Amino acid sequence: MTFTAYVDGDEMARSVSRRLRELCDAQHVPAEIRVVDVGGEPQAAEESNVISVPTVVRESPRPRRRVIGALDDSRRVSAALGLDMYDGPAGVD
Amino acid sequence: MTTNGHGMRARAADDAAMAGSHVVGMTDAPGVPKLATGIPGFDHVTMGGLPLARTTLLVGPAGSAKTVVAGQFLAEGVLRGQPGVFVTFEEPADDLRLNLSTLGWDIAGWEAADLWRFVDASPVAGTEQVEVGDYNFAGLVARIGHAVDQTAAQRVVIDSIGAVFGQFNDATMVRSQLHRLAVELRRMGLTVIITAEAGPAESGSVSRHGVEEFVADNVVILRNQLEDEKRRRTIEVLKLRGAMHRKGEYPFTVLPGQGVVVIPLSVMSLTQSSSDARLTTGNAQLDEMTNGGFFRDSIVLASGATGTGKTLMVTEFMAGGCEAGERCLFFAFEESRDQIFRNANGWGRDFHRYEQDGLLRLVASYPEVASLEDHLVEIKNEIDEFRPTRIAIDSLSALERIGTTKGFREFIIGLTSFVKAQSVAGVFTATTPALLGGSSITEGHISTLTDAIVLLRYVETYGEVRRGLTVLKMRGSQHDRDIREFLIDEKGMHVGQPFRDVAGILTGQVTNVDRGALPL
Repeated sequence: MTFTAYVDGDEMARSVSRRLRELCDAQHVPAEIRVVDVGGEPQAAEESNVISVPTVVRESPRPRRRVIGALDDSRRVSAALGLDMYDGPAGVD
Repeated sequence: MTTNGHGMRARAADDAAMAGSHVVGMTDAPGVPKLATGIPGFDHVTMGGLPLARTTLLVGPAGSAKTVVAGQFLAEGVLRGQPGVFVTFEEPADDLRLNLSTLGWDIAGWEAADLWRFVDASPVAGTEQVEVGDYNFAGLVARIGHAVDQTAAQRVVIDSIGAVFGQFNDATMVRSQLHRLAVELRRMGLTVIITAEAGPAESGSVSRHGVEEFVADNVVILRNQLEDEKRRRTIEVLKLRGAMHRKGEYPFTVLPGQGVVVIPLSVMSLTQSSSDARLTTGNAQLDEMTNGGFFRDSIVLASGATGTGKTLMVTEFMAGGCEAGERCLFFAFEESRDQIFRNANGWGRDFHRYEQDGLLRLVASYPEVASLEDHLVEIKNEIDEFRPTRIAIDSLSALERIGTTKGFREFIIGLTSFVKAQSVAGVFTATTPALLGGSSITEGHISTLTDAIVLLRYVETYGEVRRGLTVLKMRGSQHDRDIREFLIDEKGMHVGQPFRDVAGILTGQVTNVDRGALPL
């Protein structure tokens, strides 16, 4: 799965990407995470209409899914991003 | 003599705003410095504009023109060299660009020139968003900050608070984030308008969600009410913390190609200068009765039943001005242009020639085509453009029927104060409902605002209907107190002798007095 994590500052960038990887690992989901710091890349936040941080967007597989807020609650985050439904990379059985 | 310097400057700014000229930069009223918005009339109500580098909450129900007022705040800024950023949570930027352009603003052009930016935070269809934990609005702050940097913006609009709450589940979190946003915008030195939906009347809160307590020290309310089946828009400044403002509701209108125009009432009552200069009434005998004609910068009410000669009096007043080389502006709300010209011709006045000479301008329109506020703005625009010495309105009663009682009174106050401030002499007519005697409703509203009243009446004597005229009042001048008979022929009005053998003409309870019975 590929994700974009919109964050504000280095500290949030570290904690969000660490936490997201942790959750993916727990579900055996291979994760590719791109981190966007809204302070440094406001144009990217504008284009994706990001208001609040952290915002995590599952870019693939489609459809896109979007969660906002800290990723503390494993069960809710996994359900919202579909981590718990992962059945391997597309095209591979 | 002591003069309040601050007050004088604020007044000057108000007058400039009224005259339609641009107020640039800040005006210093006592207390918090203000930013003149440039919205016509609004800077008068706020006594100089909105508090500089502060947030103002603009509250109103759906359809109260919140977005238009907010958009105009930015547009007037751009026109004054102050770029702006429009943050939209509701309508997509593409729709707003189109809608606001109908008001005459080249928003796409301004965007290309880095004078205007949209931050489009409107919901994207099909994007599902789940809240899983705590968050803050750093994304929004970064986007606004970026747009402000790109444009060097000084003004920001956020439209609307209700739509922000609509995008998030946790109202408490949104409230605290909006508060932080307001603090951040203030730190950036921006003057901000945030729009919000009006709260339910019984809640005791001005806006829905109760955000005004911590988002804004400054609250402006828009209303759009239905009274007697007529729509009436008003704007009211509820509070401007630490700054003076005018109280109460002020009517406003939204015009295509012009936007919002707030109508300040009795604005210039303190700055009116009373002139001693006289203008001919256009009738030699009436000039005599008024001791030399009407004063320049005075308002004259001509009242009478239908057919008593009101339009004739106005026609002579206009013709008298044109003959003296003065510019005359005639607003006709009862008769068409052709009728007016034909009538004038029948009384020996050549309106065609005056018009060709550029001295006469006739504006004929149906009262029903627009609201009273729109008519007032139209009349002001015509006066600004034509710069007449005298104007006439025939008749006010035709205008009265399209508005509410309150709306009409505000119209009259706005009209008379504007006309006087321009040093223009005005003759307005009012139609009395009864053929004999009586007074009109119009008169009741306007009589205290007028400087002179001329009554035109039918007089019944011994089985014959004649016409009578009297100057009922004339401020600051001697005048004839007789009720005189007048005749109308192809040369116009001929005022003759006073009625001596009838009584009760003004009340309509005419009794013929047999002079033979009186002791001689």
